[in-house]
Amino acid sequence: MRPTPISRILSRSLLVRLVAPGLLLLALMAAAMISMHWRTMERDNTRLAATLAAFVATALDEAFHILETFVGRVAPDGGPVRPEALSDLLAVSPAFRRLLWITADGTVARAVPSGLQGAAFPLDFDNRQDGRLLLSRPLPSPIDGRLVVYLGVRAATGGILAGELDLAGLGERLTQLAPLAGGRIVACDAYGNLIVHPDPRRVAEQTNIGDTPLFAAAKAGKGHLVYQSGGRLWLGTVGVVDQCGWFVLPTVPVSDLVAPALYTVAVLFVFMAGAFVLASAQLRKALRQQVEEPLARFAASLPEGSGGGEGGSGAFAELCVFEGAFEDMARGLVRNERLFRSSFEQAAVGMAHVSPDGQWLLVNERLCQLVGCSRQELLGHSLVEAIVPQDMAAVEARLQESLAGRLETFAREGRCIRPDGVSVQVNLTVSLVRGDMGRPDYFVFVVEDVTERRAAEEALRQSLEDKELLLREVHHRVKNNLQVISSLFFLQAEATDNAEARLVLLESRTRIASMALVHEGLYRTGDFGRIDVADYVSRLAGQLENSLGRSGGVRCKLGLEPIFLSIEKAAPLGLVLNELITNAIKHAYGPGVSGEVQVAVRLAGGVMRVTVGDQGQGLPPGFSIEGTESLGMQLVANLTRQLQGEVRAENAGGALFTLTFPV
Amino acid sequence: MDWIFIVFGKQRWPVADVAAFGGCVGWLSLLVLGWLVLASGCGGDDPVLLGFSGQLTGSHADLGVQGRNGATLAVEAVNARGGVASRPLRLLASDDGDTARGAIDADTTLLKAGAVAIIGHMTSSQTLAALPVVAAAGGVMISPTTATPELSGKKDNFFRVIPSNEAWGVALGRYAARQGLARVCLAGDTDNASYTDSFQTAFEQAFAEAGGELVCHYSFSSSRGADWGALLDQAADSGGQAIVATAAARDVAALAQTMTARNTRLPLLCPTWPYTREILAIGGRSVDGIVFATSYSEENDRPEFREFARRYRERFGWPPSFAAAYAYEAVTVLASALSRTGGEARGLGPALAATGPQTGVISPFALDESGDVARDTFLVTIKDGRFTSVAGE
Repeated sequence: MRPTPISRILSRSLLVRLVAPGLLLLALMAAAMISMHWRTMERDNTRLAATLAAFVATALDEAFHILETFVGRVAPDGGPVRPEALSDLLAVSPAFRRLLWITADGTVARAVPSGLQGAAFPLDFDNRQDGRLLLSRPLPSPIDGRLVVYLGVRAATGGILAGELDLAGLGERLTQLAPLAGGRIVACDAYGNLIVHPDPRRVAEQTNIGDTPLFAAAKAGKGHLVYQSGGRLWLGTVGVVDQCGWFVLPTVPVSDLVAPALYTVAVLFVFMAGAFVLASAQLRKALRQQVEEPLARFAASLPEGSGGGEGGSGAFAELCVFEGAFEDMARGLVRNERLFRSSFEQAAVGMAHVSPDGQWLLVNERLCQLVGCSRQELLGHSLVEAIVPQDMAAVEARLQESLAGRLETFAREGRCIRPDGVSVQVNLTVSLVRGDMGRPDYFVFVVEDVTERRAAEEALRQSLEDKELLLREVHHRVKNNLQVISSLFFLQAEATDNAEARLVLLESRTRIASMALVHEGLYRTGDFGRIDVADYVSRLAGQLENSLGRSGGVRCKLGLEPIFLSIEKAAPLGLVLNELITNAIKHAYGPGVSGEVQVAVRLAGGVMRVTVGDQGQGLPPGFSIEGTESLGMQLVANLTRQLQGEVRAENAGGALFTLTFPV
Repeated sequence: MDWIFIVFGKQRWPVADVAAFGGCVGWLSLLVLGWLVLASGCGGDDPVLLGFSGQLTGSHADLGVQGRNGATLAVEAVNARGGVASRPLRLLASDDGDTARGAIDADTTLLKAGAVAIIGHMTSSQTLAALPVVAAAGGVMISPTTATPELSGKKDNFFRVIPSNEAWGVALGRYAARQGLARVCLAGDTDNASYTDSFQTAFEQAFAEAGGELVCHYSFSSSRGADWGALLDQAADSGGQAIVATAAARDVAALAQTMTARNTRLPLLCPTWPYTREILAIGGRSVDGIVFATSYSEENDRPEFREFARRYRERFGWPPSFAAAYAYEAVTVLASALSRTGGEARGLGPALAATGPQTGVISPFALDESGDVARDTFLVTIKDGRFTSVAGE
């Protein structure tokens, strides 16, 4: 299973902080063990070399001793040596392979086994002080070619009892004495000519080791040497055989010396490695179950785009995801902070954060301008000191309501007195910001300077008032003038004898009166832009009843809704109604017959529907508003067109006029 | 553990990190140490390998051992002077077992081991057997003591610092005539037939020219053993006045001892072959009076020879023989040729032929274009157990 990043961190940490120091200690221990073992082996091998050299010396000494013991017996009187004497001596001297009796003139008188008898002994002995003679150079035996050394002792008669010492046997005994597993025992003479070697062939070839480092060290008097031979390192020690200058050179491979220490270290290393692997595996399992998987789940729950791509850097997949998310969050925070700052500082209105106890926490430049204080001055003071006391009480009350939870946001106008005494009208919008636990954190004040706006509003109101007054006066005067005109028409009608002219004048009078009613309605309600249709129609109907209908017993029955109409439409509507109602009152019923004229005004879907009907005689057959020559009907038609409406005349239990037009 | 710090210089290091770093260094050091201890050792300068091939065991081992030791002394002398092309020489010795098959196997082994040249063989039979193999492999052979004339005058990758034995045969033949010997017997070791035949032919021709006569011819094989009594009987029956023995020192000594034992003293005339200390060691007084025809004398007064003999005795504990001296000269002239080839085998033959006059140990010499040399002939005898020049010769 591919190790997760945090597991790798753990493994690396364990490796660096636990295993590496352990390895250091192990290395130190190995070095100490190897050093101790080396010194011990060096000492032991040196002792071994000395012991073996002593053994060789003893063997030579014993050989000499045998010769010394028997030299007087083989030719006690100086007479010829009996072969039996040499044979007997050879039988009890297993170290010798041959014994010779050499006369004083150097002739071999006897030899057992036989050979060289009668010949001059070809070798020169080195004379020794103690009478012992030795030819140190090993040479092949004339009998069988095996490597031998000649030892000799001089008799009182001048003769020499010499023995051929078997070096192969000496070598075997040396090897038996000190079996060095992997090592070897080498012996040579003072010139490096091999006497003993694990490879008998090298001895048979009379190999010389005078050029080897170990021999050079032995000649130089050193007791041991580490040298390279055959691609391996060896520890060689030197034992010097007394009296003949031979060397016994045990050698051991260095690898054999350090192997025991390395073995111990290797075992400890294996244990340590095993402990590390076990601990690491257990820790990683716990880490995976308790940390990594929860983190991975959390990382997976983050929005897409968080993190550094596919597994991030590879080594910290989860952390990369978190890092990416945090970076996004930080960028967002920075961006939001920047937005907030720019919005807060560059707002056209004063903004501030105020603590629940009324201390300024944060103010923007615009607020400072509004209240006439610097930022430092403002932040060093409380809210109370900036707002006019009369307004402060109300603000404080609202603040307390907010703190109590009854109000989250409120707006209120107040005044601020700047340090220069200027009063500033402001509009305060205050909202409370609560923290995570729902506790009040701070108030957000938005302070807008409305001084100029209020002044403008006042001026506008005043101007409006003046205009209303003027309009009222205008409509009043127009109404009066129209009434004057109506009165003049009435007077003229009273003054004329022409019935037709009188009728025309009276009809014109009612028309003008209806127009005057419109103006009256306008200035009476005070709404100069529109007129109350219900009120106007009821007054118009009343006026026409009074002037035309009451005497005949015709009354108007009104069905009106509260509808307001502009003067542009009210005037023509008034004239149309005047014509239709007048027409109905005059012609619906016969003379002296009472009846009703129903007048209804409805508004539906932006269309006004006005009906004027009666239960009288009805309209004459073929009646058409457009076709009639009546001035009144012509007015109705024209005014209907002006209203962009339609008028229909029909008989419906009497005459019914329906006027519709858009409003 | 990070709260424990080690201050080093101006830096604080958590002790865990220090220990970790130290652990890695320590382990690395231990591994390196272990490798140094356990692995194969480092190599120094790449040596130039020379192969020595000769009989190191057996009845003729005196030639091979002396020759190897002489070559060893020469290699050490060359290395003491800085080696060849700044590379040390290394001598690999191989026993040819005194047989043709052994010679071929020994040379093949040496060439496979990387030897750039073969120093050997010490006897003509082994040289004749192994030379074709060495030449086929492109190798060069330079012999200290192979004296058969069969290899004279040929450009065959074979060189030698000893003259052919024909000169010795002629010198001995004339000497025998001068000594008033009219009838002689020839005894020769057929195991070294190429040497034996050429020497005996030269002796016979010179002796005959001087008026002498060959009355018997005894051939034997040293490996199978010789019946010296039969030889002496044959010589006595044929009236031989002397025996010309072409054999190794051990065999000649045995012949002399046999004559002593039978109280029959016939003059023994020999080539250089048995002229070693072994004949003294084995023959004792029996070998007194043997006359050798040789190009080597222990009574050589040359400073170079005296110095060589002294160094040889100091090095090996016994005096050198002609085999050691010739082997020394062979290595010396080979080293000179290798200096020209940069220690490589390529071009070694022509380089050897072009070495020119050499000071030598025994005497000045020069290899001709065929790889042969011409040297003076001496007559040496044994007197009182020592080698000495024949008076008046």
